[in-house]
Amino acid sequence: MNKPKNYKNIFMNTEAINTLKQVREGINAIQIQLSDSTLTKKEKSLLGDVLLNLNDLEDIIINNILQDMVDKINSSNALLKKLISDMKASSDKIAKFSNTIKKISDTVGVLSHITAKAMSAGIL
Amino acid sequence: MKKIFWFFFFSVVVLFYSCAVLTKSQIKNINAFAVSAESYSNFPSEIIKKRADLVLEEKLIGSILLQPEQIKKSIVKAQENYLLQQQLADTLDLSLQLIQQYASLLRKLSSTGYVENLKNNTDDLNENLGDLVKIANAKLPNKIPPNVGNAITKVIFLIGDKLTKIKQAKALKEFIPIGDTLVKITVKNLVDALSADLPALLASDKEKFINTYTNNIFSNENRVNSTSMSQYLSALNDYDNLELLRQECIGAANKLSIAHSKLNSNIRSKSDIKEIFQETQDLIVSVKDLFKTFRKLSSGEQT
Repeated sequence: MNKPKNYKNIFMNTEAINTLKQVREGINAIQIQLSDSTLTKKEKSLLGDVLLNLNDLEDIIINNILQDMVDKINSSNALLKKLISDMKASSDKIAKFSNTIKKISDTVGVLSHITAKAMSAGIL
Repeated sequence: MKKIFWFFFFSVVVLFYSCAVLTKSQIKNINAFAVSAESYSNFPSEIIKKRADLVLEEKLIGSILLQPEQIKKSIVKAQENYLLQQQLADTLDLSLQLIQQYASLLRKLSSTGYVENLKNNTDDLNENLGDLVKIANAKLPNKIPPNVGNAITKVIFLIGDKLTKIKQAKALKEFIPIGDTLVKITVKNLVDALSADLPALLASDKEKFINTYTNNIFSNENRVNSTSMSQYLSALNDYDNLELLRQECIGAANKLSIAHSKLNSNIRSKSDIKEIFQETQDLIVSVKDLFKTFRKLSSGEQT
């Protein structure tokens, strides 16, 4: 599998698009040649190899362009991750606070239940 | 002494209630923004994925005139490249997944979930205190007002509810301005990336498809039939829809940034606008348009 990162910085992107244009013109020319019925099998095979190589080059250029695009989009990820982590911590703290209030309410409830039982049993 | 006590008591109550919590409209707007932002985040990577689908189809057609061994080799390479581009699309998703998580946390921090937990407890507490008051009144000479249990329950719940909401508002007022800067940066990066080389690449892809189809299918009359012509037309529509999806992704990204800015400025004030902000409504419309174009792409419909 092609590893686009290995080819980073080979092309500036405008150059990459221009090179891609030339490669695709080459592919088009080879495809037209291949449909020539007068070609021998060997000639067709040679043209086929050239076409496969041009396809490889095309993939490398395009994957390089796409990888640059992805890198650019993801350049603020570290800051976003930090914000998300802070927000999660804050959400957990609020949930914990809410649980503390719930516990207070539980404790008051249990105490009043025990007191009521004790009073009805005549202990208090 | 008693007057001083009541003065302090009311001062504390006034201070407590004047602490900023979010208005209902602010919560509604946070939710509307978050839902739209979460939906939007699915689309930009689809441009790369759908492009990879179209490129794979073109590469297979472009292999027709090769020798049998070369055809097999070409198919394997086309498939490998397809998978690589799907992986690239998934990594493009990373920043948008983070925006999704941010939107989801905005919803969580503005939700009533924290206080609903408390509400569930009030019935039990009220019942226990009610029983205690009934028993105490039956035994003690000095009667306790029967609704005192309900009053204590309300005080515990109201304090818990109010303090939780104050904490939620404080957190959102802290995070939304930071989020605003990061949303702006992410959107700018996304718009720059989708505007730079991608339009030229997509236009070149379409031109290459036309050439490949002409050289490999239309140049041989045995291959020209209604199926091949329909395939050709469908692919051309897909290329047009893909370019439309790209343009709409840029438009919606800008609207996402504008809607978040509005949210940011509103969260600082106590204004209570009843409706969803126009900026958020614009974002919702843009996301709906994106969804329509995406559906056209998936079904091969015409623009």
